[in-house]
Amino acid sequence: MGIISKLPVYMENVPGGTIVTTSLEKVLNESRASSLWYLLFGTACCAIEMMCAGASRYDFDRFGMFFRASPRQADLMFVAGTISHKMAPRVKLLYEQMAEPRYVIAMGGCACSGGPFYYDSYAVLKGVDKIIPVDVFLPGCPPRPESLMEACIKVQQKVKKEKLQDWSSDRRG
Amino acid sequence: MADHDSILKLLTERFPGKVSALELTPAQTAVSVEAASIVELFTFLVESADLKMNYLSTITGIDRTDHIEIVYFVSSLEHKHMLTIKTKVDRIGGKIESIQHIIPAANWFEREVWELYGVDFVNHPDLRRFLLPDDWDQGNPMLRDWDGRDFIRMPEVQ
Repeated sequence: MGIISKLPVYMENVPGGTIVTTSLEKVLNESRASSLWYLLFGTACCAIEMMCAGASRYDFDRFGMFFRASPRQADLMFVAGTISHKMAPRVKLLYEQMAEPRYVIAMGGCACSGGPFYYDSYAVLKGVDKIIPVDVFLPGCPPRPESLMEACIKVQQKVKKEKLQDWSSDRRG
Repeated sequence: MADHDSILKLLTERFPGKVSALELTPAQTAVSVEAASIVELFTFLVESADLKMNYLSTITGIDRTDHIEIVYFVSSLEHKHMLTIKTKVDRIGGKIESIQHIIPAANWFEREVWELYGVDFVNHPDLRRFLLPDDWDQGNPMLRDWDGRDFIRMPEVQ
């Protein structure tokens, strides 16, 4: 049987042939979830953990996740690090330059809420959700690569649940 | 290399009444100077053969609530000695002469102190926005009583 026997459960094997039947939605969602290319974008120490997660020890490549240096080619953005008020418009611009559908993980305390810079700071944005929509909040200071992997799996689960009819340019308001 | 005591002696004798020695830590040679004599002092520090202070590490400010303290850190790469210079200016509308024409590196440091503490550096060639966002309109954020949009002060810990 070979690879045919290892197909995901939502694919139905037609006996005696090389054909499987499934829905277009599921194939597309499975493909998208298995190729979440992420934007190479880090502003503080969380970026070090993100780089570590992408490098050989944790190896994001095995999830089909590769970093992209251009927002035009990225599906997923890790907001990895402290976002200052000066950086905020640039983050928003990068997000807007990404092609839809696009996902955001707020990585670490700073991106979630301002983290250690919540009090007494004139410069730091208190949570990246004030400027862009966030799919997964990942606390930690900084979170370990395993946590980042968990957050990516959460995004994959979200992608797999999406309906084809919901795809539109104003899907996220 | 001039040691701690000889630097202080040299400066206090050269600028009597204007420069006085400060006791900080044993490792740190420090003087306080009147704001009006800052150009005179820096000219001497750079030109004196015994001192040759040719490297300015940084200029920073401290809000002491009744005045702003401006701190200059200079050192000599040749003689390998350091000096900390402290001076006081008014908290509101404080003015001090720029030392940019003596040490060009002071340009950016003075711009930073100007925007964060509101100290005016007289005769600075290019006093404009440095680190804060371009559309910043909320005053000088390093002052202790500063308050701005979505600024949250640390609650008092009991």
